[in-house]
Amino acid sequence: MAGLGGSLERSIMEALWAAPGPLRVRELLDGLNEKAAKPLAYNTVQTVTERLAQKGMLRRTPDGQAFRYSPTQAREEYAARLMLDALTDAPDHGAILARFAESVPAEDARHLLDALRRRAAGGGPGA
Amino acid sequence: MIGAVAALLAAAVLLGCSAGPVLDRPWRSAGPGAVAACWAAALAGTAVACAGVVAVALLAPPAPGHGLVEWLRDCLPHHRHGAVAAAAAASLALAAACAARLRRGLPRLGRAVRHRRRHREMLRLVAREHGRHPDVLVLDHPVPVAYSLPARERSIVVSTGAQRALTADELGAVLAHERAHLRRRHHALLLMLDLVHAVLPWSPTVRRAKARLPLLLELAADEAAVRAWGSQALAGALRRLAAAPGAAHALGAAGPGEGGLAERLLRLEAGVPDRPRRAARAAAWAFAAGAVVLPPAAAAVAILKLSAPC
Repeated sequence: MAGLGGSLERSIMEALWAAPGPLRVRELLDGLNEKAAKPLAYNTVQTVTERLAQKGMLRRTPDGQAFRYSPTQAREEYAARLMLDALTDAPDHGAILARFAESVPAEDARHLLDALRRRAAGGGPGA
Repeated sequence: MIGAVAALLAAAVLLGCSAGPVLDRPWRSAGPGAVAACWAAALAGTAVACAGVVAVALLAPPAPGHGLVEWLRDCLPHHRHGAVAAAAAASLALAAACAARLRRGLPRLGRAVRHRRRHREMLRLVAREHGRHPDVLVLDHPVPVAYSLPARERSIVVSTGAQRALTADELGAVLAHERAHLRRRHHALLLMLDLVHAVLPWSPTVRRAKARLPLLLELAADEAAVRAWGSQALAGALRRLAAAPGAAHALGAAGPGEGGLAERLLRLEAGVPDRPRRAARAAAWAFAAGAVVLPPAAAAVAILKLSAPC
């Protein structure tokens, strides 16, 4: 069950990242079931979506009787946060991972990631 | 009884103060794995010996700890009131000092564990599974990075930037290096090092271990990678992933070569590290075993003797 929950969380995040705007659970379910071999139950998707909202991964906005859900951060933001962890050592607690090569100061890593993101996003002005 | 307490004190002083400077010499002939084990054992021994000394001090005759034990055994002692009061004050101060140290160390450990869990959670949502390696996750990012963190599955993370930068052999060497870290529980060792350093920052052994042990663990993992893929592949990978070459480009920062990385490259360029000599290795492991076993044994004997009825 843990594995299933994990992969469903992932599919939901992916669907919401790909969506043009906030989705209702019903819309989300339709999107997920289009690709799925075995259709998912409404309650399952609602439960997992709610859990993601509680974890702070999704934002919930009321829409009539129901809610619409959207990711709190873009996928690139999460990737950048992971990279920051991967490049630096947190000063107020020990190493959380073993990186292959050396760490860089957190400030430098942040500059580097910001510069790359600007270049990727702009394509024009920053490059 | 006196012997056990003396052994405990000796262990605390020898391991906590003298072991560090001795281990800090370049013990090339024993191999980095054995030396890393010595450091880990010295750390564990120091921590246990210090805890043992504290326990003995709290349980020693006029202190309330001992009074409690005796009272439980219904043979209330005949210490003078002055001594009992002084010992109570000393016990209180000692217990408060220990609590203060632990309050520094334990939350730090908790934060690290929580941070790691959060990192994993995010990874699970953002990273992809590697097609060929069942223990590798791929993070979609241009900066070349490879790292590992303990998990039930897929503990190694490689960025797409690293995949692009490395040849097949170099990637193999990187994975072998990370697998060695995971197999030998180096992450747990680093957490222990951090905890002991937060609790006992004055001990010369602990201070030196903080500076030296992380590099030794890298060298030990390097050795495993070299055995499988050769030193050339590993050196190539190190150069390409060193402090994120992208960082050097974007920032004009000083390139690789500071500290540990230089030593690792130097070791690789010096050719295959000479086979560890058997005697040096045996001595290292004997030291490690002694440092782990003796302090708890001395502490157990001393505490048992102290809590026996008088």
